[in-house]
Amino acid sequence: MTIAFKNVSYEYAPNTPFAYGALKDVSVSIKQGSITAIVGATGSGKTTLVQHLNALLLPSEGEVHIMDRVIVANEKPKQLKSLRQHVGLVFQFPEYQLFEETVIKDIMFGPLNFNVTKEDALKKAHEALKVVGLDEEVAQKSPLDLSGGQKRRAAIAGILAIDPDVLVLDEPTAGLDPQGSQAMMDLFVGLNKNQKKTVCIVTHDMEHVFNYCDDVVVIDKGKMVASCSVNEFFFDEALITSLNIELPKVIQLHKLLKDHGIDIDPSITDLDVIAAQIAQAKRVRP
Amino acid sequence: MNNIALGRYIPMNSVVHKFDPRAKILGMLILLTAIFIPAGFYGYAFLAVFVVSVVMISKLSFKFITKAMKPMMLMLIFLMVINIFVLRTGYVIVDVFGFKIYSDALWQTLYISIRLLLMIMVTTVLTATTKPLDLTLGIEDLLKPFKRFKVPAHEIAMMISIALRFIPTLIEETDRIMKAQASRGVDMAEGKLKEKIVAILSLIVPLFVSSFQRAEDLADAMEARGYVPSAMRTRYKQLKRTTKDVIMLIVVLMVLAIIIALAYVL
Repeated sequence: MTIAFKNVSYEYAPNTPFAYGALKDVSVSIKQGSITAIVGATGSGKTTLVQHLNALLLPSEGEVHIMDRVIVANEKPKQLKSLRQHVGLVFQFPEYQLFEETVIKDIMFGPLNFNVTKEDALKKAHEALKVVGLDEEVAQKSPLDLSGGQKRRAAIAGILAIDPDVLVLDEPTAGLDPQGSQAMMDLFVGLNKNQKKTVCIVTHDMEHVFNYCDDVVVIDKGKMVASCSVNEFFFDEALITSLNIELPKVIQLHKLLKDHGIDIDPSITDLDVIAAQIAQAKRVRP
Repeated sequence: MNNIALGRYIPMNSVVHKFDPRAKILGMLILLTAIFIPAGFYGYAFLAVFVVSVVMISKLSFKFITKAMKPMMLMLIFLMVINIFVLRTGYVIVDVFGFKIYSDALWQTLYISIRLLLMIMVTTVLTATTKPLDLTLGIEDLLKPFKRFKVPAHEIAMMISIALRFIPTLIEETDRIMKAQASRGVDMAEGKLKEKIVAILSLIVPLFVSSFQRAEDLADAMEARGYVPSAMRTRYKQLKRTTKDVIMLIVVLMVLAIIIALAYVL
């Protein structure tokens, strides 16, 4: 267990007329080496939750366990910087944080802040550039001259170069075209598989949750509604209806087939296999 | 970042909130003039009582007012230090190892501090009781007579209202970028001077970039809706002067007259 929340509440602008409880009594744990999706409607508190993961926000109540560190409400923690080296957080639209003269310098900025030597930082930056799929020739360009998708990749490389154990991403595919967002998700799965990184993704896209993630955490109006594996989640019909979530296409297909009297094992997600089974079922029938 | 008190509108139901913004701006200017007349101890005491009662009538909490004053504290301390070093008149109050502090230095600092505090109170009452948009409408109307001297009244008002509109947005943006850079190991609080400069750069450059982008987007959006600065336009919100406003201005003018009398006649 890498990260665990115990009865965490968070309130914005406490003791003012604008006080607003963004998280209420949330208890969640994120397994090491998993890909966890955090889903919920806009304004449900996902981003607030995510900002607790590397102690950018500190809980108003409860405690957050991050690796071997415990952050307790109303206690001022020290040395948060070392914690942020282990948990890398990529914000929504991270392209706005680029500021150096060249892309490579911007990627090196993170490692250098964590006292990595210049040579190592440069090496890590080039590796990160490769991992996110940017060409070497981009390295010497100004970040402002890149396209939107390239900027996003450069910004993510800036976090990857720090080499965190846990990678947290707040809506990393927002505003990208379908190919771009798929490539982005493939990138995270690759990091999870090849580098054994724990990945946490905030997303609205149920297809991504279904196709790429292991676990789901559902937040609704600041409260945790569910925390389970992806398969449990999508087959919990009562929960799905109450959350008003649109199911992934494959599961919708399974439901329609069932309504039409064709029984196929719901764990099969490969469309070709499903098609073959439908054909078979049709043939068998008189 | 989210509890900046200076210049914030506080919705309340008071007489001061209901005054015409034009009258309020004029009233503020008159009061500011009164504050800058050196009327001695009694003059300032009288003004202080008046301003404090205005704050009370407008139903603003003094906690809010003191919060708005906080940023000025540093400036006041700075002023005091300079005065102590520069002013060498009056009698000596303390003598520390041959370094003398003179009475006039302290009096001067006290006067300046009172002036500044009163100024902040008056301007805070104006901004806290007037919606930013009403304020700009008021400024536009008050600048209108100067149009014949080529003062672009409407353009100035539009620029002010756009600037006001973007303050919360920029605060939010700053907060977001600060957090994003903190995730990359920037430590705004600790660190050596060189690290701090880099930290500030990492905040300012993205802020500038996004501000320019926003400005361009806004300009495009305004042009797409046919905005021409010099075009004649009517207004949805009409400002109306009432007897209340006239009475308020008379009261404020009386205050000014009393201060002038205290300063030059008595």
